[in-house]
Formats: sequence, C-alpha cells, structure tokens
Amino acid sequence: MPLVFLVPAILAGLGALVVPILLHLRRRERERPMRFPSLMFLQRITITTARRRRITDLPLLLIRALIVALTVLAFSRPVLRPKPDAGPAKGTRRVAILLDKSMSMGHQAVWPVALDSARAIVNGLSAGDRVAVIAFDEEATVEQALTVDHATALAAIGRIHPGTRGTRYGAGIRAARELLSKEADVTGGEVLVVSDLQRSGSAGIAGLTLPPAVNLRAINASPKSHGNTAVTGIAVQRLTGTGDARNRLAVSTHIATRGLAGPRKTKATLTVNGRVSGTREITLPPNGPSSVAFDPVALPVGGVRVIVSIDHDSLPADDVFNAIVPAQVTRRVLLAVPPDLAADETLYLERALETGDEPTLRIERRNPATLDATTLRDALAVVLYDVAVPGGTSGSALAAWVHDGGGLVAIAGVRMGNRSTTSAMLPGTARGMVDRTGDRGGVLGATALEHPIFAPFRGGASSPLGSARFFRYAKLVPAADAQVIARFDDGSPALLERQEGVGHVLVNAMPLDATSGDFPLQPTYLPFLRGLVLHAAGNAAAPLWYTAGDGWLVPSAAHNPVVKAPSEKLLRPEVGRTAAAVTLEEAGFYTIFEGRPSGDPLAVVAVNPAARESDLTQMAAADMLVGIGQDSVRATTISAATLAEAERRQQIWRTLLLLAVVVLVVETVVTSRGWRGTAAKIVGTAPEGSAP
Amino acid sequence: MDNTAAQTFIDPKILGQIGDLSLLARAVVDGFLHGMHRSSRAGLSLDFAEHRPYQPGDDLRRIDWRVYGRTDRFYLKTYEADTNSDVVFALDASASMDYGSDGVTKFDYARFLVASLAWLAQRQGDRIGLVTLSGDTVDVVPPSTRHLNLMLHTLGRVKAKGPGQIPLTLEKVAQLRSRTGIVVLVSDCYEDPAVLRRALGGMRSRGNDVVVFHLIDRAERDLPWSAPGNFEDSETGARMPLRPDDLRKQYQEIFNGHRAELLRECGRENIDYSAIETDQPLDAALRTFLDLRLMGSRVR
Repeated sequence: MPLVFLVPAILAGLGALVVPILLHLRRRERERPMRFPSLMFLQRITITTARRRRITDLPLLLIRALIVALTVLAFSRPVLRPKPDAGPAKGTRRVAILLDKSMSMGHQAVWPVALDSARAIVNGLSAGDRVAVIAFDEEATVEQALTVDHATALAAIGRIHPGTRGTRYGAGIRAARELLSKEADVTGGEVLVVSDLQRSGSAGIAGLTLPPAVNLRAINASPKSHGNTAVTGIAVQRLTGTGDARNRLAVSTHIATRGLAGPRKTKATLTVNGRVSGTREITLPPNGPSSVAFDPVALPVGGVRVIVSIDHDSLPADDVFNAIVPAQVTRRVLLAVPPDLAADETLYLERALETGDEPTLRIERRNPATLDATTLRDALAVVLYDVAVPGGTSGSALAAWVHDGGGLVAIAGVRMGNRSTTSAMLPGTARGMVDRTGDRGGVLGATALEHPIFAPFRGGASSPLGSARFFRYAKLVPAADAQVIARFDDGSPALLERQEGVGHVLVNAMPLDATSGDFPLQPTYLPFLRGLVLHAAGNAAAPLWYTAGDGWLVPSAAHNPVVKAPSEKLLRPEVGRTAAAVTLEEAGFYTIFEGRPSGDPLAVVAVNPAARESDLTQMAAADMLVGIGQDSVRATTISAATLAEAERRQQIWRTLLLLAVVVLVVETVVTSRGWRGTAAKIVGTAPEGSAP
Repeated sequence: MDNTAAQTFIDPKILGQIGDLSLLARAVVDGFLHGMHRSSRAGLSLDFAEHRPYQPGDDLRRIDWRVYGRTDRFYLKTYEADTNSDVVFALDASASMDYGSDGVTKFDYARFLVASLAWLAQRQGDRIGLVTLSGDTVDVVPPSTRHLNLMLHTLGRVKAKGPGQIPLTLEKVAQLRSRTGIVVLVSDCYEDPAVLRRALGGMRSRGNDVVVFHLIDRAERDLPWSAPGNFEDSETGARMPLRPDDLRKQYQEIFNGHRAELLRECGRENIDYSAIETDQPLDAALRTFLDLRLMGSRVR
C-alpha cells in the first residue's frame, strides 16, 4: 500500500531540518559561555576556525533532525492508500473527478480536505492515466476534459471555489457520464465524487445509469461535526404611523440550528440600508428553529435593503441573510360594473382588493363603455364584474391594452350566465347558471395548485379555498385554447385563463358576493382575490429574496440592461424577443441599471444560498448509488474507505507524534548524561547575583 | 583537638560557610596553632633593644613616658624578638580571581587566607595593612596593630572585578610604606612573570620580605572539560570557541611553564613563592607565612 499524504504541502516543512544543523553548527557561538579566569594561555594555542564549523556531535544532530522530521510527517497526515479492488492497469485509467462546489463545501473544515483529496487523486495517477475535472453544485461544469496532463488537471482544481448554490449529485454524475461516453473504450473509467455527501443533494440520482465498466466512488470530505447555525428567512411588516409619526419597518428573522452539541449563544444583527439598526443576544437550542424580532426601525423611502447576520460559525455563508423590501406603491384597478348593480353587491370585492399592500390597490368604478386608452393607461388591471366585454372603441382599447400586458378579469355572474354572453377576448363563455341549493352548494374540485394564484394555499390538506360553498354560479364553457385552472366539484370550470399577447385574461365563475355563496366569508377570499388580480396584471408580488441559482427576469423597462452582481461583476443580459434573464449565482444584492452601472438602479434583488444547503446531514457513500441503473450498480464498487476516512482510521500521525515525543525524551536523556551533561555542569562560577 | 580535626576545620569548603571573617580567621589560626607542637618559633621576648620615635598607629601603651618627661618627645621602647613589624597584604581583586570550579572561588580563598594571616600577625603584635585594587577602586588600610577590624571589614566589602593590575597594586603598597616589613601578595598571577618580578623586585630592594601566594583553581590547572564550548575571559569578556579535549595537553604545558617561570623569577629576587590550590586547607599557607615570620623576627 503506497504512503500518500492528505496535506502534502506541509512536507515543505522538512526544510526545517536545516534548523537543527544550523543550531548545531552555531551552538557554541550562542550557548551560554563558560566563564574562565583568563584566556591568556589559551590564546597562545593556534586554533583553526574550520574545525569549529564541523559537525562535532553527529548522533545528537540525527536525533534532533529525527524529531523535526517526525513532527512534519505527522502534520502532513500520512495515510496508507487502500489497495484498489482489481483496478485497471497503470496508464489506462480514465478518471473523472467530480468536485462539489456547493455552498456547504465552504465549511472551514471541508474545503481544504476536499482540495487535498482531489489533488491526491491526481497525484496518485500513473503516467498515461487520463483525468477530467468537473465542478458541480446544482449544475455541472467541465473544468478540464480528459487529459494526460496531470498538471493541467491540478490547475483546474485550483480554479474551483465553493459557491452559494445547492447540491445535485445527479448533475455532476450526468456530466461525468457524458464525458466518459465520448470515449471509444470506457474500460477503466472511474467517477470519483469529492463531496461532503450532503443527504439533501441526493435528489435526482434516480434513473441515472452509468456505463457498465465505469466505477463510481465517493471521497468523503464531510466535517466531523454536522452542527450548523443558519439564518433561514426574514419577515417584514410595515407599521403605519399615526399622526406625524413616520412609518416603521418591523423585521423578524428565523434562525435554524441543527446538530449542535449544546445551546449556542450568538448575536443577531439587523442592517438596514447599510446601517446597523439593531442587535439581539440570543441563545439558540441545539436543534430546531428560533425567531428573533428586532425593534421596529424608521421605514426609509423606496426599496429597503435588509441584512440579518449572526456570529459566524464554521460555515459562514449561511450566517447572513439578505432581503429587499420593495417601495410601497398604489396601483389603480378599474372595476367595470353593470348599470343595474346593487349598492352592496361588490362590497366584499372592493374591500378585499383594497386591503393589503405591496402593492396597495385603489378601486375605480367605471362604466364599461367609458374605457379608453387614456383611462387604461397606468391601470394595473380591469375587472369586468358580471358585465360583457364592451364593444366599439372601448373594446378595441381594452383589447390593445391587454395585448400589451394588461390584465383582464371577468367575473361571470347571473347577468352573464343568463345572457350567454360571448366574446372572443374571453377564454370561455357563460352559458346558463348552475343551481346547487339543493345539495347544500358546490365546492371547488380539481384545482391546479401549481398555478401562482393558488400559491398561498399550497400545502393544505383539503380544498385550497377551504369550505367555501357556492349555491349558484355561471356554467362556463372554455374556449379551445383556454386553460382550466379550477373546476367545481361537478366538473364545471370555475376559473379559466388565456394569454393575449403578453397580457392575461381570466374568467371566474365563483360567485364573489355573499348572496350566491359564502365565499366572501371565508379567510381564503382575500388572498385569492388579490392573487387573481395581481396575476392577471402580471404583477405578482416581488419576492423579498431569491435563492442562488434562480433565474431573474429583467424588468421590461430596461432596454439596455446592465446587472451588477454582489462581487461587482457586470453582466449584460441580451434583450431579444423574450425578456432578458439573469442567473443569480452569488449571494448578496444584484442591481440592474439602464445603459451603464451608475445612477439610480431600476431594480434590486436579494439573493441567498439555498436553505437546504445549511442541513449538513451526511449520507453514507453507498447511498449515492440508490437509484442508479442496475447495470452500473453491478459493475460499481463503492469504497467508503476514502483517503480521509482511511487516514482517520489509521491515525498514522498519532504514532508519528508519539515517536517524536519518545525521541524527544531520548534526546533529553542523551544531552543530560555522560560528557554532554558534565559539560553543562562544569562551568565557571557565575557572577554574583546570577544563577550558577 | 587533634591535628586531623584542625585541618578538617580549616578546609576551604567549610570556611566558605562562615560569613564572619573575624570569626573565620580566629578559628583558622587557633585551630592551626593548637594543632602544632609548641615551638620556640613563637618566641616573644622582653629584652630591651632600643627606643624609636613614635609613629601614628603605634600602641600608646608602649610609649616610654620617662623619655617623654625628659625630652618632651614620644619614643617607644622596642625589644629583641619583638614582632611589631609591618605586614602589608597586597590582594589581587581582579575578575579572574572571582572563579571557582568547586564552590570556593579564588577570591574567597584569598580573603580567608589574608584574614587568617592578618589574625595570626595581629596575635604576634604585628602591624597589619592591606591594599586592594578592584577595577578603578583602591582600598588601602594603613599598617597598624588596631586595624584588624577595619581590614576584615574591607576584605568583606571588596568585590573582585576588572582587569588584573598587580604592578599597580604593588606600587600602592610601596607608596604606603615607610618602613620595611613583610609584603604578602595574594594573586592568581595572570601576569607576565618578568613584569611581576620587576614589580616585586622593587619591593624586595627596599628591604622588604616578600611572599607570593599563587592561588590556583583545579579547573584552570587541568582544563577538565570534554564538550566543546564557548570560553569567556573573566577579565576582558573575550570569547573563544574551543574543544578542550584537543587543547588540554598544550594548555597544561603552558600553564605549568608559567608556574615554573614564576618560581624561577621569584627565586632570582629571593622572593618566597608558594603555589596554593584552592581545594587545599589553609595550613600550608599559614605554615609558609609563619616560617617567614620567624625568619623576619630576627630583624626588628
């Protein structure tokens, strides 16, 4: 079994062997002098200086050099490389090194070990063996294709740094498979995954197959302790000031701890627009979530950059959390109502829409026939409340406005149902009414929960709209290109959608007043209505933060966008027929400018590492193969005995250090006995007042 | 007390544990004298010899008041075998004296020796004086029969430091004395023998009896070390990296040659030279001194 070193760089410390030699040669010059009454007679004796520079005590020198060498070797963490299982012949191996660069690899105890392991793999290859380097997190990048130039591979490893994205072993293994598949003969192929083996990264492995002759191994670089503390989220609330009092911003944060040995004291710091605005000393439990509420601060004008940080631990990347609180704006919603509308028929609708902020909605009642381009300008959405799409110029203006991005929501009620109103602009036609008073009313049935409108209701066990009952509703007939988002329990469409240009048109059959059902009395009424209108307007509430790796659509207002990343790197996304997008790779704040990166930004978004990366729970190396194709499983030998694990098991360093201590004791004995010890004792009497 | 016990008592290592020089000197001398057979060498006599003028430091009790009544001058009566002569000690207080490989330094030994000799001389009625030159400081105790305590105090106070200045010390002795007597030089004699002879010869030519006690430490005689080391000169601070094993033979030859040269040079001037090793009892030195004193008693 060959001896390799996990930290070979420390071997440079063997250069320290010259230290005992120099000390030995210069010892007489620097040691405490032996007082002698007079050198009068000694000075008459001819003494050659060459003799003084000779090594005069070789055994002692060798003993001291051995102490230094043993110490250096111990710190370089030697390990006897486990014998490979019937590996391929030398010079025929094809090794793809998958180096995990996800956020969790930034752990202080992980990344140096991972780098050393990857380098040790390359250094252990024979001449003629080919090696490739692939860096992966949620995506994989081939840093170095298969090459026999091992120095190039080492350089490629040196270029890789841990990022902020999550882990997907599947992405890396697929990239390795693609790389090896290009080879005419994959015999001797090996995929070596250097990772902390986070369990959360195993999703996506299912269904993977590797060529039969390819061997997959995992090099475990995980830390001994999986304990971690992370800031996982921020919640903000605007507090409206009364009288002359300013509006304030209340910020609370969520902190998760996992696998700590005991409670941890830390300090949470709130920074608002670059200024420290509050701190909290807290004691976190070893496991579980905690919440910290900061004192409300004065709400600055415009978008607010909020940062919450805690004292750094071994994984500092998740100890800081960024968020952007958007500026508060008020948008107009035009409510087109029929002439015969009862006074309180839209009461619930209007109150629901006007409640809430981000954005604040202002309802303006309109006669459908009065809609024109001027009226529609700057409007967020148009709600046709149980009234047909207007014709003539109003209809044309409305159609043009929707095509350019406007949002139109048609509420189909008794009037539209009884008249069977048809309009090409709507994704469906109301044909009659359904009376469910006989069976205690209908409820919502099949619902597309993945639709953004229902985002607030995801995760519920029952119907997204709860127990809302509908006694009379319009029977919708969807158009051919319409998308049915929700249906009643009798199969009748409840919500239809169609895209017109870049705008959205929706038809809703769920009665929104309190006479045809009890939906307005349900707690789901308000978030549903706001979601419905905001989605139609394409103005979904901007998230407070994005997760690293997410794509971000550049605001359409930017014609020549320049995006400044947290690292000050400038990105210039291409604006074509589709909206420009930027992949948010770094944690921090991305800022978009028009034309050049100066002046007021058009928008700012906050980016944080993937929350699941903070869970350092490790999986067994063998678990990586679960779900990989049957053929490859048979042909693959999983070696959990990685170099690091082997080093941990063998603990050669401990033996070397013990040996060094023994040799040190021997050195002490040697130097204190015999003539060496006598030399130290027979010295001249020291001057009075000093030790003899 | 038998002879062996007395010699044991005056072993330098034991004396080194006695802090009071007065007590030490008395103990040494008493032990030494009690261990000897009675001898006529102690010979005190009351035979009148002559009158001599009074000199400062003379015992007032020995003034002949009758002669004073007649002549109105002070005269002292002297007797045959009277030991009232000057004994001046020249103590080498250079830094090289502050060396001892076996606990007692040469300077300690020298102080014991001088104190003991002074006590012995005091017992015999001699006037005792002291000159030391330590660095730039000269300590002088004029000869007197009453200066024993002052002398012991001076001995206890003086520190060995600075370079060796034997000729200069002897020059101070010459300036101090107006009468002939005994000059006792206690030194490690790190000096050119010819230079030493010239300085001592000057004393001798004035009619003084001169005794040289050459103190030698065993280590400076044998150079016993084996390990290489950096040797430092006590007086000059100069350092020399040496391997004693390779130099021992040459060194011992030079050292013994130096002793032989000293003996030869002193012999030329009729100077008593006595080499004393500091691990030896003091009785040899006392005996040497007493022999000389007996001889000197014949000369007033």
